[in-house]
Amino acid sequence: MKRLLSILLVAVLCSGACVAPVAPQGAPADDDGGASAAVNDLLGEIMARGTIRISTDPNYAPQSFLDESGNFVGFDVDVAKEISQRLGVEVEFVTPDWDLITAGNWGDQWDMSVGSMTITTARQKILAFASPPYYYTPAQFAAVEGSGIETLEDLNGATICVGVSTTYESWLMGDMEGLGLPAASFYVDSPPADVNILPLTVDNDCVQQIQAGRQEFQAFLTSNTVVEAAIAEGIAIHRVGKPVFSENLAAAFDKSASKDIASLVEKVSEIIGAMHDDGTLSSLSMAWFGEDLTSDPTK
Amino acid sequence: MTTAPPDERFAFQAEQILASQRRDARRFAMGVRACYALLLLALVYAFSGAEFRVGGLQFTTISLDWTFIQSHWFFIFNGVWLTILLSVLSIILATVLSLLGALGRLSKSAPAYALATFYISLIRGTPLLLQVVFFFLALPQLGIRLSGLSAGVLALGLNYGAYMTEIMRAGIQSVDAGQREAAKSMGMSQFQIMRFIVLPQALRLVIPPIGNQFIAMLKDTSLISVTGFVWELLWRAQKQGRANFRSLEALLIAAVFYWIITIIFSAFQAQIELRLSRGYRSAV
Repeated sequence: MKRLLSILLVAVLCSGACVAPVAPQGAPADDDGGASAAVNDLLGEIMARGTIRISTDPNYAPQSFLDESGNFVGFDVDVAKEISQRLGVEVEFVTPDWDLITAGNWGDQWDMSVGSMTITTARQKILAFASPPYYYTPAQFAAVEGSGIETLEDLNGATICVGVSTTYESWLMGDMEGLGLPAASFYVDSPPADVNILPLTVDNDCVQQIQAGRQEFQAFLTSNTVVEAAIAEGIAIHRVGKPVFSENLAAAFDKSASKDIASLVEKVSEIIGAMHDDGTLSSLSMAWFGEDLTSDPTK
Repeated sequence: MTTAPPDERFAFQAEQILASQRRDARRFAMGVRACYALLLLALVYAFSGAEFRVGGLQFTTISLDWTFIQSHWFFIFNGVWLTILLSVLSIILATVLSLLGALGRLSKSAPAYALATFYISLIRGTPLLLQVVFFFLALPQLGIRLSGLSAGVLALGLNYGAYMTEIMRAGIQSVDAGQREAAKSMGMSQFQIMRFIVLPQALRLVIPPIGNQFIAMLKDTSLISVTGFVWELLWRAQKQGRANFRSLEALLIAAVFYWIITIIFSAFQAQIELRLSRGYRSAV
C-alpha cells in the first residue's frame, strides 16, 4: 500500500511537471523598451536555440511523407532543410494535422510552416506568408474511369471529393473572396454548377477511396502533383480538362505567436528569393515533380 | 466374490467421476484450441488474395500488397512503445482521479460531492475525441502549452478517471460498514480508516476492473493521433498508408499489433486476478 501511494504521488508530480510554465500569451512586446527587443524576436530566439521547428504534414507525397524508416522526405521537406541550412540552424520537424496548421494559433509549438500552403485572404488574417511563394501548383480535376466524365462541363451536378480545409474546397464552394488569389490565377470563370462536395480528411483519401472501389463520388479536385502521383500508382483515373486555377504556395508563420515574427518572415523571404535566383528551387522541383513549378504562371 | 467395503467403493467411484471430468475438460480445451487455429487460418485466408469457385459462383478474398507490409511493418510496429507508455501514464492519472472522485462521491461535504459529480457528468457527457482536441487547442490560450503526449495523457486520464470513479466507489463500498465502525471505535481517524482499513481491501476488488480499463485504453490511445504530435501506432499507420496509397495494409498492420498487445495484457490481467483471488476461492 505504501508503495502504491508513493507511485501515485510520483504520478501526480509527473503530470504536474508536464505542465511547463510558459509566459502568458499576448504580452505587449515593447513594454520594457528596446532592451528586450532581441528576447521578443522569434528569429533571435531561433538563432539562440540553434533549431527551427518547422511543421510538415507527412500525408502528401511527393511534397511531404515518411520513408520506410520514418525519415521525412519530399519537396517541402527539402525546401525546409535548405531554408534552415541558410539560416544556419538545425531543423526539427513537427507533425500537427493540416487542420491545426491552417487554423493558426499554433501556441508557439512550432515556428514556421513549409507545407505547400496557398496564400489566401482568409489565411492571411491569422497567418503571415513569406514572399515570394516558393512554388506554384495547378489545381486539377480528375475523374474515376468509367464515370463518364471527360470534360469540365460533365462535372456539373457531379459529386466531387476534396480534402477538407483545402483551397480546392473553398474554390468549389465558390468562396473566391476567401481564396483571394489574383484574378490571373484563375483559368476558368467559375466552378462547375450544382456539385455535391464530399470533403475528406486528406486529398489523398479521395484517391484511396477510388482505389478501394468505393463509388460515392465521380471526380476529385486537388493539386496536379497529387493527380500525377495517383496516375503513376496505376489508379484508374484520368485528368478532366486543363487546370482550373493556380496556387501560390508559401512558407507561413503564426501571427499570434508570442514572439515578434517580422524579422523571421523577412529573413525567410530573403532566403526563398535567393533560392529562386540561384536555381535551387528549380532543381528540387525537377527532382521531385519532374517539372519546374517554381515560376509564377500568371506572369 | 467379496465385496469391497462401502468406503472404498465410494472412493473408487468418486475417482472415476473426477477422471472423466478431467477428461472432458481436456477434450474441451483441445477443441477450443483447434477451433482457434481454424479461425485464425480462415482469417489469414480471407486476406490471402486467393480466388475460388463454389459451384458456378466466383469468390475472391481480400488481396494485400505484401511487399509494402514487409518494408513498412517495422516503422509502424515502433509505435507500440508509445501506445503502451501513453496507456500506462494515463491509467496512473485516471486511478488517482478516480480515487479522488470516489471519495468525493462518498463525501458528506457538499462541495466535494458536487465537484466530483460535476466532473463525472461533464467528462462522461462529452466524447473522448472531442476532449483530446480540446486540451490540445484550448490550453495554449491559457499560456499552458502541453506537448502532444502530455495533452493526450491529460485527456485520456481525465476521461478514464471519470469512468473509473464508479469502480473505485464500488470497491470502497464493498468493505463492510461494520469494519469502519470497529475502526472508529478503536479511535482511528477518518484518514486512518481509509488508509489502513478500507483501501487495502478495496484494492483487491478494483484491480481487475482497472486492468480491464487499461486494456480498453490501449486502443483508445489511437484517438491521440488526431493532433498529429504523437507518433503512436495509428498515426504511423495512417501516414505510411496515405503516402504510399496503401492505407488498408498499413491499418491492418496496426490492427495486428493492437490485437497482440491486447492479448498479452489480457493474459497479465488474468494472472493478476488469479493471484488476488487467492484465499478467497472456494476450497474445491
